[in-house]
Amino acid sequence: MEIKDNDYSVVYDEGSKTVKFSGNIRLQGVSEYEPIKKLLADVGDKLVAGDTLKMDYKDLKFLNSAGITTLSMFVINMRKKNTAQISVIGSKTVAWQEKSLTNFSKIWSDIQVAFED
Amino acid sequence: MAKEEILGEYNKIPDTIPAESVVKIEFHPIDLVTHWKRCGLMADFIGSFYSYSSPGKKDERILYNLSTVINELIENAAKFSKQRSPVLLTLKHYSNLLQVQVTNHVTTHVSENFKKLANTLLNSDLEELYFKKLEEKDENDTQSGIGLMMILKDYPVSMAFKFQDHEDGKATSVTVKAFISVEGV
Repeated sequence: MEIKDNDYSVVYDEGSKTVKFSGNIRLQGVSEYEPIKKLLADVGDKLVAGDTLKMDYKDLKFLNSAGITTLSMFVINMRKKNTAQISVIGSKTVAWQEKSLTNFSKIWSDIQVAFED
Repeated sequence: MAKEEILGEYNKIPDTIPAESVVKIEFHPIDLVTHWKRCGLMADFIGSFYSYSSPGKKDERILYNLSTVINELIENAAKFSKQRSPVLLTLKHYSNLLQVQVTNHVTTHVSENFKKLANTLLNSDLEELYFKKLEEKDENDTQSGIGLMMILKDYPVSMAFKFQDHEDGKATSVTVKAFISVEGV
């Protein structure tokens, strides 16, 4: 499953259970995030107990607040379903990630957040 | 006499203090709403422009963070303004502080809602309120102010607001001043 645009991509690799976000995602309001929201919901539906979904943001340079809200709501939904776990990978060099990705573990304390070079 | 209301520390930097750098950009919201990517392009330009004046290795960090904060302000101005009225973005750089001033024109209805939000932003525990808003989020609610909450809680930014009713009573000029600690971002 994947969404590709000139500015960004969101790709799910079923083998490694990883959603990789790349580029620059600053869409116009929550409604434009519907395709990404749907992709994540479909991924969430495929996961079973014991699975860990990796969410890799290392190559995502920008994400606006509508995007952060969309992803936060996915985390809330996954917490409510309480089947699979989530681990989040961010980049030490992309400044917003340190602030916003750690917010995910405040929504769901079971989330592991790691920052790589 | 048109009614004026100020919320927050609006004159944190008095106008009598000369800025080291001043940049003014005027745009029409309809332009950004039609070409949404221009919000981000404008924010990236400002981030890039002011990260250049900050010495040291943290330049890229400053660029990313300034762009993130300013993008939220520009997106809000594009979204909530009367579409064919001008938005004036004034940037003033004072040593470690960047004052970003956005003046736009909105309907009185939008103005009243934004005034309530401004009061909430200035008088609440935003760390608590941000997560509460996310948990209760109604997906059709596009005026939740969650972007501004995130900026104020996660970045070294403070804000103040001025509301000035137009003489005809049909619209209000809203000015948002954001004071960003450039080295702290």
